[in-house]
Amino acid sequence: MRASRSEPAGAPPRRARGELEAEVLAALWAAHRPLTPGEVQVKLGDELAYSTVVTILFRLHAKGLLGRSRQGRAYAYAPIEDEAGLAARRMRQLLDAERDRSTVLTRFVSDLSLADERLLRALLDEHAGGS
Amino acid sequence: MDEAVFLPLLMPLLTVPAVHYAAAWWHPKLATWLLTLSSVILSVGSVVSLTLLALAGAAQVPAVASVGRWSATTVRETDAGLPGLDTVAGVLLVLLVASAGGLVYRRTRAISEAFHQASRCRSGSELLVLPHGEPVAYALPGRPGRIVVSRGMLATLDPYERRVLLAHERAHLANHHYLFVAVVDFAAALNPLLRPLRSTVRYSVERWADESAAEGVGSRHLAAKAVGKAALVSRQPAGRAWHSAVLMAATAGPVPRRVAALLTPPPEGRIPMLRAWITGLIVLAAAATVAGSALDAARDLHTILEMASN
Repeated sequence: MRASRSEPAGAPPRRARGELEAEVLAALWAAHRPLTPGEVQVKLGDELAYSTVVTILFRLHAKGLLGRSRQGRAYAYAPIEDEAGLAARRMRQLLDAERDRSTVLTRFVSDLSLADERLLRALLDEHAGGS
Repeated sequence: MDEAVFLPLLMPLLTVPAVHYAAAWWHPKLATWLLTLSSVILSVGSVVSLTLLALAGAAQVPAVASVGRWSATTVRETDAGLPGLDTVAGVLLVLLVASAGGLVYRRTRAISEAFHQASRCRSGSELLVLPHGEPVAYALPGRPGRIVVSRGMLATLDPYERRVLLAHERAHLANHHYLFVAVVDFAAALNPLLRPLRSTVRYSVERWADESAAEGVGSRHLAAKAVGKAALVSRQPAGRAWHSAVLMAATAGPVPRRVAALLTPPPEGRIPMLRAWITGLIVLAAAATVAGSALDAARDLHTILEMASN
């Protein structure tokens, strides 16, 4: 019927440039040390061409979002932290504030009760074998 | 005015449960629209009803009658309302409109602050990473909106799950989900019987974003796993006050329901069920009834005043 039946083998749809940049940035933040383009490529699940990764890293560096240092023959890239720290403080204020302010932000996950947690673990375990 | 004027006030008692179930059975995008529109119709209907009741009462006050050049006595004799009801309706109307006004003020301020914060972020990327370990992720509406994620959240997800997270938040931003939530909150301020829909719409927009994310990464199972994993890491004792106090009074665990929904076949793939159609019809019928009886009551009041104007 639908493509979702053949998951997860079906290749995900092509992503826009902004989406790829966000993914690369996320991967660098998730790692706790500078990464070379090759390492980033692996961290992304090996789906992107090496040259694509290099291009994206270069662009993020040009935008001032990444710092880089020589590591052997390649550059290693790391996210720039101070700007993020500033933003974090402002965001915390936004979250800390009254209900209406936080309601404007749609959260990925809300709090779990103990019962929820158990139910969730059961659901995930049950389907873990599926793929 | 006959009893029809009360219908719009009480209709939510029938409609809210129907909408609530529809939200679980329909595709979340359709469900979100349905419940937002029906909450608007129901709240407008109840405000019209209260206004008419209060006006009918006001028209009986001699001072008002002399300004409007109708006979206060004739209005009193023609209007079959219970004594004192008009005053109650008037007071209620003022209170509800005031509370809705307060909500609009606060929410508008909150939204404009979010826009302001979004615009202060570097323009370079849609993603804004918070350098702390506490696992949080949310969408910050703006022009353009931003996806705000903490380093702690990113570190616990694998590359594919991170893609789910990004696609989920992107869907929130692209579809302006905060507006649906704001509209339903506003409707619930105007008619407190609609309050249960506040958590329904929040659940519904999350489901909508989940479905978009699943489509974006090409796997519902992967999306389910990412949502579940993120919820479980957020659960860890971090337990900061702001984390639990904030936001959506989640009723019966929205996260497990979202995960369960993702683990079943996509909503539009299922056979259109009788019950889904029935709930839809109930909602439509209720909306039509509300609009009809509000118009009816307005015409009644108009007729009464016409008759009294001689």
